[in-house]
Amino acid sequence: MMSIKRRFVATAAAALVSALAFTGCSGTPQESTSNQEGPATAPLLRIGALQEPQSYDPAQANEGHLAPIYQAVYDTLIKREADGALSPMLATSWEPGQDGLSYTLKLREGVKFTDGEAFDSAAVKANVEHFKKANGPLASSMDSVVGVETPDTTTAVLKLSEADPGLPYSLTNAAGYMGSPKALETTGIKTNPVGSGPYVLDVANTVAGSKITMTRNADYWGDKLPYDKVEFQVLAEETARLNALKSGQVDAAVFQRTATAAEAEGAGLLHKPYATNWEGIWFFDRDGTKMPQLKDVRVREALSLAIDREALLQSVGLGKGELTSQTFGPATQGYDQALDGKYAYDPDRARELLKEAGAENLAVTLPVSQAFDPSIYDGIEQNWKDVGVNVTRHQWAPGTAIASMLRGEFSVAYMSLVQRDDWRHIQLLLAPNATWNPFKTERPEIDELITKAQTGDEKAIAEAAKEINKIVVDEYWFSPIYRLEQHFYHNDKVDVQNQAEQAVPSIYNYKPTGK
Amino acid sequence: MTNFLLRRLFSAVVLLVAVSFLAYVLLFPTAGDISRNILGENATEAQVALKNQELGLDQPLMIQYFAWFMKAISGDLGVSYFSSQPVWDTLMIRLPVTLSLVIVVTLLTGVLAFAAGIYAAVRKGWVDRTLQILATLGDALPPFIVALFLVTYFAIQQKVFPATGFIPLTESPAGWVRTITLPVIALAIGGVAGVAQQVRSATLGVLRNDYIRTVRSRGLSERRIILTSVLRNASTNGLTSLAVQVVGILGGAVVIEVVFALPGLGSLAVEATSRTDLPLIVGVILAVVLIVVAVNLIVDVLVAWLNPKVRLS
Repeated sequence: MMSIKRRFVATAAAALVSALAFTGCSGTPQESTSNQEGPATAPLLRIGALQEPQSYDPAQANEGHLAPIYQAVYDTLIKREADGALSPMLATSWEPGQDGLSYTLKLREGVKFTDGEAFDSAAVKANVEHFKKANGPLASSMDSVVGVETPDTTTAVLKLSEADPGLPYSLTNAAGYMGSPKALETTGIKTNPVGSGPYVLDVANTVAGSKITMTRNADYWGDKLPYDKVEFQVLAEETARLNALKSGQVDAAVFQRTATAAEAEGAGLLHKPYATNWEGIWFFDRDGTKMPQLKDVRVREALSLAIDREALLQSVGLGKGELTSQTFGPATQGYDQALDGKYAYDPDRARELLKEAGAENLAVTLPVSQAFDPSIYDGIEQNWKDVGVNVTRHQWAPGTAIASMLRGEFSVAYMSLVQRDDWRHIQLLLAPNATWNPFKTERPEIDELITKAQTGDEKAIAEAAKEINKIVVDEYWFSPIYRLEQHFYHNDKVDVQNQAEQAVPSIYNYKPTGK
Repeated sequence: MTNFLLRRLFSAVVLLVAVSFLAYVLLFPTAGDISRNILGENATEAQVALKNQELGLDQPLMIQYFAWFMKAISGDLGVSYFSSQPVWDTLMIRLPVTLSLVIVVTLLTGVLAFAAGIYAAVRKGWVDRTLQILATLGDALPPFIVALFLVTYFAIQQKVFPATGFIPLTESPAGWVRTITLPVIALAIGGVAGVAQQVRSATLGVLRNDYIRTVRSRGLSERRIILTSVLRNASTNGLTSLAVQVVGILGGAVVIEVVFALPGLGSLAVEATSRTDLPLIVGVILAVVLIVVAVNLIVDVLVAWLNPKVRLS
């Protein structure tokens, strides 16, 4: 087996060993865990969900809040453990070709979809082709794949147009969900998933917009999950979610506002702190296309130093988070702890820098989205005004912020994104053609590092990520403020493991406590 | 009567067409980002462009509306951009929830408001004043404040009612009652107060009439007089006020359904709007307009039946 990161191999192996120990290798998990950690099985898990899937077609799957719903009914080719390590699932191994232009997957034998169809290399081929054609939310994660070869029923070879170190990760996500080839071609797949996952959708007890019920897949090939039934209650409104959790109608739920989290904490609900996102100011227009002054790195530095990060963390984030000056997360190879304190609050220096840059009358348009606490905008606006910057606000209509940012309508904006692994972080934010680089900022030294990383081994990616991170921090491409805690709360009936890089835990991460 | 109904039906159809067109035109400018919202933050511009094409969003507004309209008149309201479900199916799932609320609240409001209004008008004195104060208070309390109070006390602290969710009447009548009790109370309080005041003043007006004195002089019991002579004449105002309240209840249901996570038209409207799910928004608007038209029609017929003076021509 080969994975993109050496440490992944180690952790994956460790996870596998512990998984085998946990289940006693035999598919009879109940006996081995029932003595110390409470019962291994429980009748029902109820999760408060933010939204429901737009379609159960695996090609239309999205990540984040929706991941556990898809994971319940679809297995992925590769599994992502709670700590982010990759481990075998429907594929028992994955090996890149010598030239980096292919991945050979060895497939698990004896797996059947819930409609009785066999899972084999032909199924992988059908899924990949369907995924590429369907133009789902994560379709671009398969852009490098040009075809699938099936030398035998348990081997699938993904052919690539260019080296893609991010592919194994993509196979843990939407691109890796395997649906029954027979069902993929029907419209029924949109409302009734047919996969090989640990659960099946209980259509009779599922109410659109209200409740999704999953019952055990009796013929599941793998280790049973501890719950006989899982219910996702769709509670789009934050207060409704909090009320449902407080009154015991759901066992776990995620919140978006810090104030709600504080209330959940006050009500005695449980929480393990972890951060998935970073947020702060994005200087999209680093080359000064729309706002010429922004080309001067001193202006970007001044706008960064003017922000009182600590005050914002305390007042907006209620202290639940860590300050940062970099976009790479602590779990990545590109992360450098020394960089975290670099953009320390210094309004005097900010004024000097603006003067040096001849930008004393700087005017900034700050677009405002409803997705964030209004006080974050108030704070930043006040900080900038304090150093003599004239701030104008633009209010985005609901649902328009992301599209507007990605069309390059604003030079500067406040935004929050997940901290991904090095390669995907670079591909999504920093590469010249990255989706989140709307003004297409390009630096020859970064291009070179990306090319080196793409064709090199995992060490090459780690080194490139470190260097790129340093360039981006030194050049003030962004003004990150903090990594806020994810507000995932649950009651004492469940034990939950946080999932790296994901807003909510994966479906595999829940365990009953027996209370 | 048939003539009247036909005319009302015709104006309802015109209203529906006009409303659907306005909804399309007014919402369209923000609809440009639908594909981006569907595909999310990772999607490339090329993917977004492809999605626009798939959904027909690259066509001019008038062509899109015309295509929608031609399908709509054959009963096909399109497919939601976000749930892959036909809009019609979604409305049929959501409608019973909102109708449950609206019908129960309307009946409850009607009964309580008429009882309270008439009682206050007949008894006068401190009973009247107390009812007046309660009515003003009920009128002034926004439903969502009442809702939050009810949830905190009855669902979270006492755990006697669920804080969220809905169980259909067909699945479990007891469950249905449990899930709609708090939302119904939250919605009814303001309505009862408003209608009760109308009924009270109408009853007072009727009681001052000469014919009441005549009826009294015949020695009929007070109860008989109220039920036969007063109620019938005073109910016109009360019913009209109730019809206005129903429209208000529909508005209030938006907030209440969100607070209690009831899968009705109100919460659907909020979801659909925040995602700019155009076919669904238009569908919800049409459904709500239909409800309002139907309620007004029912009230008009009832009033005409009760009061021959306003008999329909």
